[in-house]
Amino acid sequence: MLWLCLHFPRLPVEALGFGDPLDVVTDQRGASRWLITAAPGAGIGTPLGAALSLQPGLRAHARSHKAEQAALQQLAHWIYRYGSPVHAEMRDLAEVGRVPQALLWVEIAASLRLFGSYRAMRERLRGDLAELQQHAQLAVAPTRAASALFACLQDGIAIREPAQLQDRLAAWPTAALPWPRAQLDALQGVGLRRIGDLLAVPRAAFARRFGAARLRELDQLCGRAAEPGVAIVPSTGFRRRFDLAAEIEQVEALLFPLRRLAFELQAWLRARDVGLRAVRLLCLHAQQRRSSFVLRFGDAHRDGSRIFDALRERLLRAPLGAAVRALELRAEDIAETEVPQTDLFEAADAGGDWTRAIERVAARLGESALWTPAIHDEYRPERAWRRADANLPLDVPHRPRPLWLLRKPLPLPTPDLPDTPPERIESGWWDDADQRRDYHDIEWQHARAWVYRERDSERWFLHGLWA
Amino acid sequence: MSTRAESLQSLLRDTRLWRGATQAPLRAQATGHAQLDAALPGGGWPCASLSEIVYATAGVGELQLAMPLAARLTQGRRRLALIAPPHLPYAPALRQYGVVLAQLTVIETINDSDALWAAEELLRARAGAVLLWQDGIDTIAQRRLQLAAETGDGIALVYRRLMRHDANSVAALRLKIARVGGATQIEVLKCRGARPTRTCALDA
Repeated sequence: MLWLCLHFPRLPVEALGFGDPLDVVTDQRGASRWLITAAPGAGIGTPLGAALSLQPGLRAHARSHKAEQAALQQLAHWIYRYGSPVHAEMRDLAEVGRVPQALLWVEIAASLRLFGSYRAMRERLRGDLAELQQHAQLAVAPTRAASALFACLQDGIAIREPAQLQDRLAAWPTAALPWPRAQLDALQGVGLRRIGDLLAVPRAAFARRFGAARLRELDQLCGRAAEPGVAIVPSTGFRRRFDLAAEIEQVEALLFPLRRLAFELQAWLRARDVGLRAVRLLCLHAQQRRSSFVLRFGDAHRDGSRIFDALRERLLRAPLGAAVRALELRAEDIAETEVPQTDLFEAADAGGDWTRAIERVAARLGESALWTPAIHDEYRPERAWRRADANLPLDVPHRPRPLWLLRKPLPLPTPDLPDTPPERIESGWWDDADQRRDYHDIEWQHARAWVYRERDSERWFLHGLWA
Repeated sequence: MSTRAESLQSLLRDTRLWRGATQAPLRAQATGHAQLDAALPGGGWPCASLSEIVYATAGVGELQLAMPLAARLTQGRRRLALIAPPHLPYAPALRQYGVVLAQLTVIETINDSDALWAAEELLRARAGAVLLWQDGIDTIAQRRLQLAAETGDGIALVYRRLMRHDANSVAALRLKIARVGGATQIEVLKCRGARPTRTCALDA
């Protein structure tokens, strides 16, 4: 087993959607509040009062366990593409001044060969983190506990060989262990300052003094004991809610959280190995009111920037009706993706430019503004066409037809008729749209027109133009 | 030495160079109407540029003019868009002209700026051709379409209903289409690379 651990030191603030360095998140226990994310001039764990006197511009926010859990869950979906199993833990020590640790593990021994080398994998990972705008510290170790310990201490430690693990662990101070403070103080008190000192203590004596649980944790750290845990499996549906810090009326201000949601959806799609056909964005307003819309895509895909572009176009087209309190993004329709294959003859839409452009147009103008004409097997001219997505191969009518059809036939005075015989269309007696018409082809107002006479009422109508 | 010869060749290929009676070769797609092709400098619709069709009223054969192009492009699996058409493009008739309907997209818009935006987007996305109906298109819009057509190497056809055809235009090709005495007649108002002289009949 080789575990890659990611520690997200800024997750509490990122989960709340703040991007400014002066926004900090605090934890509270009784009357004391302390920072759990760092700000310029005020480190992690500083009491809020002290931090404010150092940096008066700080904006402190209470932490949201729910948002943190959800954010970590989404990151777990994303990390799924680097290997499996995946574990995630929000490690809370429930003591004044202690900082929670957002940890994510992924087993990479099997997938390393796929990426070629650890270096290549790490570069990909860093690229992804930059795209997600997520700060993380990475570490690799043969056990979950050790990789977490290293990730929290320092970025970039990688121990591939189990034999080296114990030696490398020995040098670190015992204060780094995620144990209760009383216990850490006790270790200090008896002179056990480094992890190496702990490992040198006889096991029975250690268990008697500090408890069997601590001994097992120490064993897990060195790989001498199993590390049970429940692996995360991507959920079958994607539904992610984002609560905004304040009510937002401007679409521009929604773009940052929207982008985040779009890339989370991309991560989920990749983890599940499916493509997205339709997505729904739900805006929650005051007084439980909500508005939503669905965006459909031309083909199943899993491209976050494409999702984001379509959402942005749609939002910019129709401004928000009311201030938004929360956003919810749902995968409305998912499908197996068609593996992108290069078609020898389909040079016209290389890279899907056309499909993307059509999606942008549909997002801005509305889906009903776009259609593809198709033939319907009918004699009645009004019904011989339909708006369609797919075309069925049908016989072309033998008689010539005009290129323009009027949406509604226009009443005409009796025209001068040419000598040619009319085309008689009699159809539809079985439903309520019975037609008995004679179609003529005439010159009318300097244009060629397709007109008909209703045989029951003897009235004339203009129905098409030979454009 | 060779670079000098190359630059001369590239200069000779430039359509902006006026060389008396001989013409620089112009990249074009045949219109499919023999008489009209003979009258046009490149022998058809100029590629990667904007062409304009001026007509007084719908139903004079204005869409028929573009049908051979539409049929050829769609059969070659290129995409075609009709933006803001004044009436329903009638599917059976389109099929009769050989258009592959699946490659065709009709876009209906509420205002001119949306139509123009959509036309630009699709031209940039390498549409084979975009047919846009807009009577009040101005020079700036025409230049934008021209640029989009160059970017996506497509053909932009703008249909303008005008009573008078003397409004300004930056289009590479301008045709006026009218029905005279029961037949459709095309007048070449302007064509880049040659002097517009000819009037010809559209073979129905």
